[in-house]
Amino acid sequence: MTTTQNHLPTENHESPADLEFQQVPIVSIGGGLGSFALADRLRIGGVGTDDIRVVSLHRQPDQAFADACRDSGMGPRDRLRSESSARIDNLWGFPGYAAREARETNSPGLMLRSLVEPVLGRPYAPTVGLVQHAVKEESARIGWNKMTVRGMALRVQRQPDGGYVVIVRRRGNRRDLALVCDYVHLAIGPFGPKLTPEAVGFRLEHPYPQRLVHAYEQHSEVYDELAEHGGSVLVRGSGIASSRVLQRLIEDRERSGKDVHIWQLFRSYDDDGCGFTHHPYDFPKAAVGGQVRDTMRRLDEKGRIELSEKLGATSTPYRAEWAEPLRRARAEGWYDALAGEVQQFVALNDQVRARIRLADKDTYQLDVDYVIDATGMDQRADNHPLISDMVQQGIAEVNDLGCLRVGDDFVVAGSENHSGAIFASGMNVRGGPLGPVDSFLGLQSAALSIADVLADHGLGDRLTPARSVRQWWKWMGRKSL
Amino acid sequence: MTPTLSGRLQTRVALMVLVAVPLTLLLALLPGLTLVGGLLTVLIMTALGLGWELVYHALQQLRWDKDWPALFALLAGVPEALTLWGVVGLFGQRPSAGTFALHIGLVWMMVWAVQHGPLTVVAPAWRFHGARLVERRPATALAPAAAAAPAAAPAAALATPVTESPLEEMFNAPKPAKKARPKSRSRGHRQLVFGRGTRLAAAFTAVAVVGLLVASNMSSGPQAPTAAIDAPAASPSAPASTPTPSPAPSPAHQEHSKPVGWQVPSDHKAYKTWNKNASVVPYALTVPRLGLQKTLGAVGLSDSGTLQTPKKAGEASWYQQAAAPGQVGPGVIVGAMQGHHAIFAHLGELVKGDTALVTRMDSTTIQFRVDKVQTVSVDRFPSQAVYGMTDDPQLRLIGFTPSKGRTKGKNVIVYGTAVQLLQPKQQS
Repeated sequence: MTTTQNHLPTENHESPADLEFQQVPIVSIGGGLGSFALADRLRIGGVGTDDIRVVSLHRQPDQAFADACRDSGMGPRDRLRSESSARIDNLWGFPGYAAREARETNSPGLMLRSLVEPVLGRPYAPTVGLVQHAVKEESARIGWNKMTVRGMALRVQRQPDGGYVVIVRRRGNRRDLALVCDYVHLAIGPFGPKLTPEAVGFRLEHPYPQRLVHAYEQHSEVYDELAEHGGSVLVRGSGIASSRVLQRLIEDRERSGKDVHIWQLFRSYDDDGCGFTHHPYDFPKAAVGGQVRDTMRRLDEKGRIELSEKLGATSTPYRAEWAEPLRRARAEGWYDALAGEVQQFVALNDQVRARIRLADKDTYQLDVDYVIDATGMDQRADNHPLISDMVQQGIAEVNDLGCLRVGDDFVVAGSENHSGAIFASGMNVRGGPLGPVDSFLGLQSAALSIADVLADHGLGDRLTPARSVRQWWKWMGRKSL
Repeated sequence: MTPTLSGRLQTRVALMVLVAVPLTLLLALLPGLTLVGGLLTVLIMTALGLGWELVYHALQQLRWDKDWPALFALLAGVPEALTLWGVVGLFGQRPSAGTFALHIGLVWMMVWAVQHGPLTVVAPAWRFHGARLVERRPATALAPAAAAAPAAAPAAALATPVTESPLEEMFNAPKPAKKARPKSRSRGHRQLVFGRGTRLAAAFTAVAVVGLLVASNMSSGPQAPTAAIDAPAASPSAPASTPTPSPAPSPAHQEHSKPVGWQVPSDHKAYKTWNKNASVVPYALTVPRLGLQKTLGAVGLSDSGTLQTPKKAGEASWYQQAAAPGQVGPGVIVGAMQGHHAIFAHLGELVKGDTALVTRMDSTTIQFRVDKVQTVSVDRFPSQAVYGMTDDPQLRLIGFTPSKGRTKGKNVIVYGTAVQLLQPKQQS
């Protein structure tokens, strides 16, 4: 996932004739699953395809999601960390992914499993391919390709008399597009892999660091090299991405028979789970729509950030496919865990030296062939040029996490402009009213809330029981909207 | 589904009223279960249930995710039923044990099943609001929508010079007017997922309907996904101020009097210059005098070597083996003159100097001037004049009537010469 620091044009359109103008009520910037959730809800609420524009780099809403999965080594058959009723392509969550998979694979046992999870059985989780396929179907149903403008949003600008203008550099078109709109929805998602200062320092010295890769970047050559020659590798992090990396490394080691020594660096070592904290989901279920959500809403911003960091601390689900081989690896002695922080990465001839400050304040030097950094995605929204530009213009504010500050209805603070406003959802609003903002359910919850505000202002209808049932029936019959 | 305490209580009461009571009314047909006794049982069950929910809520506090498996929620019915059996005995309304078990068992299963699925269909926000059916929402700080269209200023300042042609107005695709937004309703209010009292009945019917729908859908099996079909939106707003030189169209042509609401693919790379050698597929034909605007099909040659005719009388088609309109050579468009809503029924009314326009797939439009209108019999068809190569882009509109018995079919041929290329006007 590479990013280019794009030059933001302030006034480089000499004459307005360089721009093509279109007027729409709402523009969603992002084009990933966050935009998809809102567009889906609005379409179900009766908004036409002409009234929504989605600025997207990708053709399909699941593309960015699929890229992130692929880069972190997840194939279409690997299971996500999500529950059955968290269906991003189904507003109602009924029937869930378990029902769909049970039907497609003729295995009714899956339905039973979702009855007894998470106490009596391991929780059901949908596969990447299942989610992707379902999203593709739903996006065809709601007419996604009629709503998308492929390109990059360069600037969001406040109109003096209400509303906003979004300037889009379109793909395959020399003229930029100016979308004149009342409402803007931001769902840009993570800006890229999170690079810690040590890793940045290493990359500045070595611009093509094949030996220090990030789990959310393309790094399959590392696995190929290790499978061919063997060697040692340091995995940083203890989240789900690191679990995937470990699983891949162990599988490759068994298949190739080469000696690969795996080091794993935890920031804090949890003795119960051999270093890992095991939770089926990244947040307790009650954080989406339960007691924890209510608690979160009552808190102020500082409390929200604290609580969401406490509840959403790095964890990984317990799965046999990586827990069992790891136990064996520990017993055989080719897996070692360390607890501490990396202070510096130094490039040796053919290796990387990591200076690690251990938890007991000792310094430890570790020479490994490869470092795989699985410390997550960059979650600071103000690293994104579009958002930092908006902050400079004064139409958005950021909180201590560097994410957009939003109210309880997901309106970005400071963005109200007469009748217009900017909404945000997804990873850009961490520290807001919802804990798991970037989960499927979090995106849908935000979409419902945003669409309710829009319905108050006359865009789309409320989801009354009658409309909801009717639309659900259409969904069940795969009737296009 | 991880309910809060208030959500639990609300859901319990709502499901008892909406599911348990109607079910009891049905089950009152059972021997040994009286209507009064059954309803009293449900009432006691609701009252006890509110207490039970407190117990469940307390139990959930011991768990990390404040939730337990759906199966536990189902099994919780056993202690509830046993307690209910004791309490109902105190009221002296106890039916036989079998009847009681059947009644309460069915009610409990139904309530549980509705809660774990169909309820979200009726109230989608329910599961995000801690299982509350009534959620208080804060007032939004937005001002009511402004009456004036905010884009008026920049759009007006932006009169991009396109082509100066009076015919351009033909291409103003009927734009939907900016919808007048109703006045903002953004005071703090209770968002009732189940409307007010009167709507309760409607909601109940919806639940019943959902049950039926689920049942029927399960049996009908998976349905094939329908792709979104790109049908041209037929928005029937005629351009009011279009100064078409045409007389009022005849009744037979009523359906042509309104331009079809097609939209040119505006973001296609528009040709800046007119490349007369490029073959750009024509998209639509417009003849202002006939009040005709129609998307075009394509035809080839039939087995016998004659021109195929469009399948329907209301369709016009481009002969795709000759030149495309706007390309050097004769572009041939053929359509019926007889039949139901025949497209070229009045083709003979065109005169020299009239205009015909062909919009092409790249969203540019070629304007043609009519040079000659000719009516011929089928066996004297001037093939050379029609199909023969020309030095400039030409248009041939061919209307035909089929031969019937002894009457020979005839053709009306309109010859046109290309005048200019019109760039598409920007869509907004």
